[in-house]
Amino acid sequence: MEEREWVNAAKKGDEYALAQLFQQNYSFLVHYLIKLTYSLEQAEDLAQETMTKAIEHIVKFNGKSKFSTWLISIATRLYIDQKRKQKREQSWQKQEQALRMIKWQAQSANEDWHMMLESLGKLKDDFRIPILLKHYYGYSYDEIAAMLQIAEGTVKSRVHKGIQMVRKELNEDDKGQYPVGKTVEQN
Amino acid sequence: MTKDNIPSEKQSSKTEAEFVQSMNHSFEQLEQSFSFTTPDVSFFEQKIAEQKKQIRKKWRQDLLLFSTIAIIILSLMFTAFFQQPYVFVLLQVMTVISLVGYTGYEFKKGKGRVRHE
Repeated sequence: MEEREWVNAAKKGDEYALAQLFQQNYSFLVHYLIKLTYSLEQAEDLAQETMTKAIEHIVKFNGKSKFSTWLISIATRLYIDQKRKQKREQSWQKQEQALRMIKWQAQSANEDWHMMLESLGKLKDDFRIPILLKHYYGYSYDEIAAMLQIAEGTVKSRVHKGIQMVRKELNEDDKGQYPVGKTVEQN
Repeated sequence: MTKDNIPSEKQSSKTEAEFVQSMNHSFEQLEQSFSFTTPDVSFFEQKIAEQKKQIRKKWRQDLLLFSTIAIIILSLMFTAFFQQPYVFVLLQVMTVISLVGYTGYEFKKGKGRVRHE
């Protein structure tokens, strides 16, 4: 059975069809949320909340995009709302904690990929999310604009500016001029 | 800066491509550093059933709340209309003013949001 058929059945109230869609897209959703939160625990919690929202709004899903795209749009909005509700300091501490864990894991394996994640983690979500959606997932600017409910031009400029900021910080880190833990755009 | 020192457009896009490649590699490594299992279909079915039950319960509660408030408002309106007509007129005028004020405020807020984006 194709995705569109599962979607149509789910919209008509078929619980098995919706469960199939969730199961097929669960791994994709959690992996996306791991890249946003840097934490498996938070990613799984947000995935549960995303499914709850999807169950409520499945009848409104127009089927123009893939089901996975719809799910990550919901997940992104939930993540942004959650961060807004949390106290800024609290959310920053959580991310720092997650980053320390990742750094430790990477260093144990003698790898340096955590440097890039650390720099990306210091970016504001306004920049980080469009970069992730554009360059990792390959979504077009208009798709990202629709997902984040912002103008296409804003997405383009955020992707461009965000990359410049990360590159700048990585270059400065190499020269040892930029203190670790200080943010570029976090303030 | 001499002409030789200025990076060409081709070089710049190459370094950007390399940067994106390295970024994607980091994301892949991050993905691999966490392992989890996908639950089976029955888990999702159970979750959907529970959630739908919750939605129905909430809908019933909302409907009850709406009906109760509607009955209270209508009772007050009828009482005012038959017992004290001037209070009824005053309430109508206040409702219209509040609605116009609220609509204007929302409109202004919406315009502001668009300007910021």
